[in-house]
Amino acid sequence: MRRHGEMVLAGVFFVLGVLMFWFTRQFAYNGLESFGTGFWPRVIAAIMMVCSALLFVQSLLSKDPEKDEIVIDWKSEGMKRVYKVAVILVVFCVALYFIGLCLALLFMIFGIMWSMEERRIPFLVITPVGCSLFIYVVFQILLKVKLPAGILFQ
Amino acid sequence: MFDIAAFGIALSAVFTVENILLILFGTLFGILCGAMPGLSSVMAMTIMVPFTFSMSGYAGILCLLGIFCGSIYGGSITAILINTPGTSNSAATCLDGYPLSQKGEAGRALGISTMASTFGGVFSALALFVIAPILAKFALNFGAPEYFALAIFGISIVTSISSDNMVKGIISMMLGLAISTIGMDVLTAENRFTGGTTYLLGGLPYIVILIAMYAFSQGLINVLEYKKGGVLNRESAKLARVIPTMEDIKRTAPVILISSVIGTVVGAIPGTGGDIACWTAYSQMKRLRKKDEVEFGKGNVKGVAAPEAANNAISGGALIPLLTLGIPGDAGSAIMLGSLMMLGITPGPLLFSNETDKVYLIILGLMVANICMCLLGYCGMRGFAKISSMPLQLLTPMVFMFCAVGTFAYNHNVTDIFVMVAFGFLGFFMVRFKFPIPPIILGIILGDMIEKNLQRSLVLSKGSFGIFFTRPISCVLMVIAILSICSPIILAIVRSVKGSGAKAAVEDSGDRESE
Repeated sequence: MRRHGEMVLAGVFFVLGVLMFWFTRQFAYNGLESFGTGFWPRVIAAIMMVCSALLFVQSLLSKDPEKDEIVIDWKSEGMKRVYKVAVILVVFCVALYFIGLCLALLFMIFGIMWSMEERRIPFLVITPVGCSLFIYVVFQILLKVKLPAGILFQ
Repeated sequence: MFDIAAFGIALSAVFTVENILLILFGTLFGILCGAMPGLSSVMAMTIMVPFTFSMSGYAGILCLLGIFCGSIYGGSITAILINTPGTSNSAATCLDGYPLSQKGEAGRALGISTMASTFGGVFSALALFVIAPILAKFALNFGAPEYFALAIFGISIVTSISSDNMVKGIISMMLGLAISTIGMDVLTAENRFTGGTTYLLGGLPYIVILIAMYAFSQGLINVLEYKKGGVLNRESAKLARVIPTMEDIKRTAPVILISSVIGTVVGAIPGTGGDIACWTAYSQMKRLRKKDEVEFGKGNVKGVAAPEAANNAISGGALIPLLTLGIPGDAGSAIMLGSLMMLGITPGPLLFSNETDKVYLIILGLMVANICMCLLGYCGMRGFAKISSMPLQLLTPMVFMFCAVGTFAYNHNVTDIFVMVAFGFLGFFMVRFKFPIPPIILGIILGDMIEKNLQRSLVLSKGSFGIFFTRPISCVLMVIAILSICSPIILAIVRSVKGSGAKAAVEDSGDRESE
């Protein structure tokens, strides 16, 4: 039994370091006196790779992995709710482009309340409408911030 | 040193009806957020910071100061009433606040907490007024090597304090520094990691990442940990007397004074915060307890006064390195830095000589915010006590809503919302895997400063790193930074050597016994 989650994350950060190093190959390095744009990102990438490798080894050699392991139960009720909210937020981002912020907020607030098992109709209606109205009045009217209207309403 | 003309300008700027109302609003918002477990003071500030940019003049800064003070204080309300600290700053308040509440003295505990918080806040503002100009004058002698060493010192202290696992802390720091390299290089005008998009030319806005990492990820954690029917507090405590008696004032006055000093000093050290300040003050006061007093942990009023004075005193303390050196010590002061920069105020030693009125404005704003906090605390305590009964399924969507709207209001760019959502999920997983978030934020903020000053220093020294160790200030800062990063490794080696020594001794004695 190893600390798998941490090992995977260490791998992700290692790959990030490698990618960063790879993308800096075109950047200039003119020696330490005037090091150009390439030196600093390469230093960061190198330290990130070393630390990721250390984290991987640390997790691999953990004396008591069960005690220290950070467990995320991907199939738990809580994580299922997080997946639902993630989908709602992605749809919200797409909806922003088409129907604008205030209407997208209506959907987002309703969706998150529903995914958090709120089933009382008055709450499901009043909260999203009230919040969207609040944002519209405070930003669009009082603070004169032009909220995104969406391409359908522009 | 005291510039009376600048003080007059600051005084007239703060004491306008509009600004006083905005400080009151900020403080009220802060108290409400602080009182809700699941919303932190940093979260309250990150949500509100984009809104403050649309406010005129320096109203935004004053409003943020109100939120800063109010949210630290607000955490004590739920700590005392339901044994759940609204923010980590009030964790120590639970120990004596809740037992007092159980004894039917919730009003007394809340009254003392309000008094101590106000005194701590005002004391730290006065300390800022006295100490900051002296430090700023000293910092005028700093050159590129000192600034590089200072930035490295700040970020390494934050990294070493905020994580149990140093490797994770350094990875977080590197992630922040990596993000800071995105965009056009200011020295060479060359684009880095922009992928050809104009959106990334100016780099990723750190306020957006701050909202994502603190507020959005916390919203996701609320979703993950939500239990159906989960209401934070179903009891509405009956508060009797909330104004402290003369006897309580006399008993707690020395404790409040000492704790305020502790809080201010702790706050001025980068990487620390209200949680460290409150525990330090609590443990010190516990040691100084008189024999005839109620034991700490069983409802001693000093156990409420000490942490509350200390955690509110960090507000002024944290502004000392920010205003004098331009180094934010924690996430809260990082937000203040962003707001100041947006208003064209660049924190640093020159601020004290060139724009003294703005320094006084911040100090006066902090004092007024603490007084507003006191007034709101005593007048609205009964109302704030009910805020914790808000259902999470109503609170959580509002957090996401404020994240989205706040992010948009910052730059008026929809792409920022997508970036915020993406970084929010990254933040959620990083928090779950116990990667510290403060080094990421400080990495983003200080990355540019580190790179620029490293380059300038190496130009001065003709490519020699020795320049950081031949100048006294930079040498001291670099040594502390290296020690703070290396100390966990050294300690681990010392412990393992001691452990193996003890094990060998045990085995040796076992062998002798068997013989």
